[in-house]
Amino acid sequence: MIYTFTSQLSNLWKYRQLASELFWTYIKLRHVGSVLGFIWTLLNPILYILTYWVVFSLIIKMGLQNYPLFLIPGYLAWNFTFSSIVNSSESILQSKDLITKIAFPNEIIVLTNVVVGFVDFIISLIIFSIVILIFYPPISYYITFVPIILFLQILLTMGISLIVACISVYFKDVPKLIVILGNIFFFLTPIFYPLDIIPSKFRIIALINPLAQIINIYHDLIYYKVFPNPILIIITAIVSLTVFTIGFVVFNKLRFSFAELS
Amino acid sequence: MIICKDISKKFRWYERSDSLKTSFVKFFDKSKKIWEWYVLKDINLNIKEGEKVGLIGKNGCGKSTLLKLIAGIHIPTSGKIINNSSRMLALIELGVGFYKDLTGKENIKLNWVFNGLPKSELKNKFDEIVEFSGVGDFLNTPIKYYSSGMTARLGFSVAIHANPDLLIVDEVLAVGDAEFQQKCFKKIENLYQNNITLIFVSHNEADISKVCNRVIWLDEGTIRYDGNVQEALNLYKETIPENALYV
Repeated sequence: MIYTFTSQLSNLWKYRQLASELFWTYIKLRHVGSVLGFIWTLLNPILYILTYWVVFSLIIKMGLQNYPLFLIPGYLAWNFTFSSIVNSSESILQSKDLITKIAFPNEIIVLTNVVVGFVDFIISLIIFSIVILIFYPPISYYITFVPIILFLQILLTMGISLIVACISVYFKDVPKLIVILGNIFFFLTPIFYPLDIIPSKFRIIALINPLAQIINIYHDLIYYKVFPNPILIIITAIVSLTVFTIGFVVFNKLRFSFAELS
Repeated sequence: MIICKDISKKFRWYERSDSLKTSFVKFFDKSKKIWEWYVLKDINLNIKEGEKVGLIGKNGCGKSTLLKLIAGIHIPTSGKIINNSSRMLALIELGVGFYKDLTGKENIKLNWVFNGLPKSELKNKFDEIVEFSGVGDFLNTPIKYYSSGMTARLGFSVAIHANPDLLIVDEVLAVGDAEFQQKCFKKIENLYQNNITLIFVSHNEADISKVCNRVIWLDEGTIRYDGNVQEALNLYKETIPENALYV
């Protein structure tokens, strides 16, 4: 199993130029025909964040100072993982022609989708950092640990996306189910509320959700300006790596049936 | 060299593969149907480097499946395939991998890397590809404005200039007009000097005898004849009713 996993990665490396060409293709094509173009990429999180800001600081009082500083990193992180999963759940079916007629490592389609989402995420994070600098200075030096967590998050997202992409080929209603599950998980993940307000007997729900841990760490680094519990980081790293590996193994096991099923 | 050892390919059609709901119902339904059929049965093949192999047979006899197995798109249900070509190019359908909103130029680039070829080589080949395809002024136009023939020509042009050591062609040449078809065959004949291996599916007797030096006749998933071109075509023709037009 380890052998096939590494050979799969080395085969992917051979196709890296395809990945980069596909990346630019996706970037070019996704806003074809839309008037606002790239602005859509930013407009979506901005509108949602504004809404949650209004709801949870004016209507329902969360009692957190500098609430946007709490809300924005968590929301953007959630948005990246969730939209990647949604896109991946449809990606294999949309690329039916390629998969049934060209021999290439199919996971490139899913992974490139995730990378496109990641680039959007990074761009929004950079814009957000400028906003913090202006409205909520100073930035703590803990922010330098953020790239490590970003790396873990992209591994986790790739793993889940690969698994979801596989299942969606077998069950065509999975993409619809994902959207509903996503809405439920949005509320179960500490995005607009801190993890510790969950009553301790229900906290297990958040603890088994790897994304909740990642967002929790972002909150520590960016909002609370403290160093997160190292054990938490180690657990998150192990979980992310495991999910990533499982994603690849599952995909590799099932990919040859795509050409027959899709 | 390609070695196919005892390969069989079974396809399945599950009644349950559509949605969660039907799968749930079918789980309790003991009379659920799984359709299975063998497309290929115990195929043994040995294709040496430089051979030009024609594949003939009726529709549904497994020609395309065999090509896809060799290309690595499908894996065999049982048996083993060894394919040690380093630059394989499979033309299962022309224009696959083209994005309709991208221009011809962008699509050439994308198609090139889709076949696992290094981008650095494209620079030298690019002008040749464009010229051979005859796309001309449409190079910077999105290919959704191309005619189907133009798209096919572009696809073939990219493939033929990729310098493959194994070229797999599945009936794709039927798309172009007569002039382009002739150009393609001239190009394929040129490849004889480069010692490439060719696997070629066609329903056209003349094309087969022009480019192939070995013919495999597939019939209902098994090899009926393997060898001499003329003999294969003759044997195959005998099984076809007299009033049918094509071989």
